[in-house]
Amino acid sequence: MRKKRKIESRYYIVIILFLILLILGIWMYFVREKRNPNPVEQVLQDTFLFVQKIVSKPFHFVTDKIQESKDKNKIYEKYKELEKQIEQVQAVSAKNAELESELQEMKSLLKFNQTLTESSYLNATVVLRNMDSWNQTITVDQGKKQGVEEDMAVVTSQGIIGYVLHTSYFNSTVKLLTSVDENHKVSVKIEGNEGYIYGLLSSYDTKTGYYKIEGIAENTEIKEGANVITTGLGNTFPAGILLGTVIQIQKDHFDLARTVLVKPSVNFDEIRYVTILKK
Amino acid sequence: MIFSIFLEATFSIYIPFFTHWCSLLFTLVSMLFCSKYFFHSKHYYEFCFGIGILYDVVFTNTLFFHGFLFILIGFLYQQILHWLSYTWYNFLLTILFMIGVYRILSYLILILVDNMAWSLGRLLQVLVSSILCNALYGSLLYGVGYLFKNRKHHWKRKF
Repeated sequence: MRKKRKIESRYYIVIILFLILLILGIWMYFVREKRNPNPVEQVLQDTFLFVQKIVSKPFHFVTDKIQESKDKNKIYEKYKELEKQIEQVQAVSAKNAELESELQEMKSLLKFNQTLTESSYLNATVVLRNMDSWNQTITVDQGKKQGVEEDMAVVTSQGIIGYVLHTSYFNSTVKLLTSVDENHKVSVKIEGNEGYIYGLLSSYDTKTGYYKIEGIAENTEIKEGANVITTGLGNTFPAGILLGTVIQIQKDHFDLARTVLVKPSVNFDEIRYVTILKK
Repeated sequence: MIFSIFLEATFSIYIPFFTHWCSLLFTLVSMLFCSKYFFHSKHYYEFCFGIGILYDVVFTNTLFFHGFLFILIGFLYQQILHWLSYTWYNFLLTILFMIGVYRILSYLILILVDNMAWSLGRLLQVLVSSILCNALYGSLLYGVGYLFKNRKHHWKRKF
């Protein structure tokens, strides 16, 4: 019988090194955030999420019932609160009509067309969260079929939460603003005493839970508690969506610019239903 | 295994992103739990690869990342099992160790290939948050496995 030839140990080292490099190469190609999943992946993901929606129904039913009973206890307080608000509604709606006409006039002057009022809405339910802990994304149950496209803004009733990273046929992945990236810096404005002050949302501090807004000039006055809203500059986020409120104003090391800490208006831990703003 | 994946997907909606106490890895825990059914078998690595690919497609926007990583984790776990007896205590310790290895490796790889910023605090937070609920789930799986094993012996004796 022929003896099996033994491979020398140095060849093993070469093969292992080659394999490591190959795997690193594959990872470098496939671990890109902006990678579009191929059709097979999309079908697999859609199928899994379809089954998952059915499987998770009993869990959601129970949690919804618990939430419902909690809400029932607060119903009287909410009723009183709403009663007060109704009195203010008439005044607000009159003011709103006036502002609307002013806005139309100004838009025609500026030819500025990306505002929240012009976006059409698409409601979606969160079906999954990314569990790899390093990137904060959620998956919602609306996809290409419903007209969702990449880079569309995603909001909740409390404010902006992120943008559509990629879509499959029936689902979409939304990247949250808690993982702010260089390619999608959000242009924002802060309510000041003499009009708006502009800045860029640069990061999110996971320890404090606040956004950081940078690029604000020293000679501007910002008050704590001021609202921060999107400007509409850039292609992703429409104007006029609430981001949060100013919590603290910090000076930089050279005393030239300031960093504003903003408390998000959205509780990112409790996102169940979202709205996609179609362009 | 399939139940664990669906359970992880369902619970993921209720778990906060930046929690200090609960970061789910049910898929990985049950993959390690299943290793005893594949002991000394090369099919276990195929199983790990398949689970990793499914994890990639369903939970992340990557491909082959968890596929290869789970093979490595499975291989390391099989090596550790050579040295340890299969008791609840050992099982718990080894899965926690493997979760730690997985977290550190995945973070380092993402830094290397995806230009992610290094933050020791963030890594430690994720490591700490991965302990409690995964240890509980591991214990639950061990208990279920133990019950089924006893029930099987019982049935065998009966018939």
